Amino acid sequence: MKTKQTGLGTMVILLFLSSLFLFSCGKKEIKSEEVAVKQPPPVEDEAEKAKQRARLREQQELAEKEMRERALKEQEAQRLREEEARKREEEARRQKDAAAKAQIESEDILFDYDQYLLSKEAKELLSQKAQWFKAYPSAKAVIEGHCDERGSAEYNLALGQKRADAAMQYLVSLGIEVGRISTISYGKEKPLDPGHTEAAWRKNRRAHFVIK
Amino acid sequence: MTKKLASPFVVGVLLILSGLFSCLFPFLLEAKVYLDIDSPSVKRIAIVIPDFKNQGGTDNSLGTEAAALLMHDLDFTGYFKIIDPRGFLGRPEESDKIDFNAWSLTGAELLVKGSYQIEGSQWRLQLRLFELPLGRQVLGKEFIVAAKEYKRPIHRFAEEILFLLTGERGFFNTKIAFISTGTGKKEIYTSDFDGNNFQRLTQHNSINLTPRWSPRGNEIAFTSYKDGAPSVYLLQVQGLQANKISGRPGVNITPAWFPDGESLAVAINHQGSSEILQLNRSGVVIRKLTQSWGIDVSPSWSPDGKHLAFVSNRSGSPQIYILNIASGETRRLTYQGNYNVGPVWSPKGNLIAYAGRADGQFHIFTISPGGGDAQRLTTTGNNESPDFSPDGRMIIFSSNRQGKSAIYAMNANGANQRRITFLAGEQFSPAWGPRKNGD
Repeated sequence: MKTKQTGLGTMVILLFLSSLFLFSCGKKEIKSEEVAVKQPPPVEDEAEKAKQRARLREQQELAEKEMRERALKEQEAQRLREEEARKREEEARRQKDAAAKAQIESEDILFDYDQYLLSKEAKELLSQKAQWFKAYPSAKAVIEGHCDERGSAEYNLALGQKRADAAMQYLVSLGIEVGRISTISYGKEKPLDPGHTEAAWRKNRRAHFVIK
Repeated sequence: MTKKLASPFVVGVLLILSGLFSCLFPFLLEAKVYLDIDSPSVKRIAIVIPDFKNQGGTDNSLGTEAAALLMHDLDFTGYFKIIDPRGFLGRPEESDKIDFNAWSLTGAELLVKGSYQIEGSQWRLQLRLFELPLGRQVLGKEFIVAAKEYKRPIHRFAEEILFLLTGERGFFNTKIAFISTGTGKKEIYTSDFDGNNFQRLTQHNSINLTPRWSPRGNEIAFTSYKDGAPSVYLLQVQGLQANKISGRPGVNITPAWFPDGESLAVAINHQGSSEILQLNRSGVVIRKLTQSWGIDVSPSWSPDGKHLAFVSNRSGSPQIYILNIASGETRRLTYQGNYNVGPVWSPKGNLIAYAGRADGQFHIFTISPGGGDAQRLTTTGNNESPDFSPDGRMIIFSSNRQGKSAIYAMNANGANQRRITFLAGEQFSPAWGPRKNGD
């Protein structure tokens, strides 16, 4: 792009110079007729030439300046375009990170009634979460253990801890550093669904991830 | 007895008619047969309590209120049939001339007559208990208290009647603690034994659970999320200062006071290890009581401190086990049903109450610590978290049988079930406080 522009500039200058040349030649012809009559002093001719050279230089410089300015403007526009692209990319990445985080937080590990063993589905989900932890090596998480409302508050507190521990231990077995995950049990104190149906209970028996 | 009555709370307690104990003995023997409180179906004693008579001063409503309170107290025990005094057809009486025959015709076996005078801000109350139809006085007391404290001598007289009839003290001056969601959080409340006179103790804006009275009644151990993770705290009932004693990683839950009040059993559960530890009052480990890879939780000491009942899922489902502290041996107590939790030892050590799942709902059961047949005491709703009264004759528990969870009381044999909290929100996890010295 830039070389092309320089070439164009050179052509413009050449054209200018050649037209200038033709023009001055024409004048000379007329003058030579006059010379035949009058014989102008050679000094004047020299001064004229110097003037022309100066003018030429001036015009040349002007053209170069214009060219430079245009190039700068183009550069600036390019910079802005690139920045815009980077911002878009960043925003897209941010959104992707947020979506991944939201997915980690929204997909709970579910358990059977009075159980804290991990099902096949639970293990698959935890493997996905492990991939995420590997992709975001600085991320830390709290795993909350929850229970459905049936049974004693006390036993469910212990059971919730077991569920959080089971999820954490599986992640650790997949290579996630133990220091990145902490656990807390809420027993049956913070149900996700306040209903009293099988469907509500199923949702409430969970290990829930909160990303720090 | 007389000495015990001279509590600092009562301004003056006088025996106006010295109890002629030799005279009382035949009645007592007879009465004890009447009130065989361990029998599955206790015959109720019919008692009538007409309004106490105002013999000076202006406040006539006090005599009605005080008589109603005495009826309420005695009715609460489940041992009395309260006769409506309007069934009395005799002539209006002078205070010293009582028509015992006419009172007997109401069906009552016992009669309480009371009279009072208001002297300035003081209330002088005379209460007498008569056996019908003969009209033999079996109890007589005079109390002098500040008028606004009129409930105290009434509770005291109810204690006296219960002691006279059963040989054991009651619980009419005790308190209970429980969790209520009235504020939208889970805070600790206390009330009188009957749910009246409630008061919020904590304002942690958090989840508080399982309040447990210290043996002297001056502290409550509980679990709270107030600092983030579930930890065990001791709450001073006076001053309401809460000190964390166990905030180990994971859950720190279900504190249970050792009978001497100097240590507690606490369940700690973290990263695959579940144990019940005995901690001193500062939270320092005295010894490890249980350990398993499953769940060990909800300890309760036998009254002599030699055994510990607790819940474990070591057999696959939550069941109650008993640890012999000296030998270290553990045996399983419950075999009926697949979910038995929340054991609590009766004050005499002869029963363990717990909540178990039956027919898809939770019910209160009692079982002897030796095992054997469990008695199911409740029939409707979910019923959980039993705790015995200090005399072992009653059990409080939570139930959602009327919709929202509330606190209920019943006799230890399941009779006489009644709701005692009528507060906003739901109430759970009741604990019956001890008798205090002097009450």
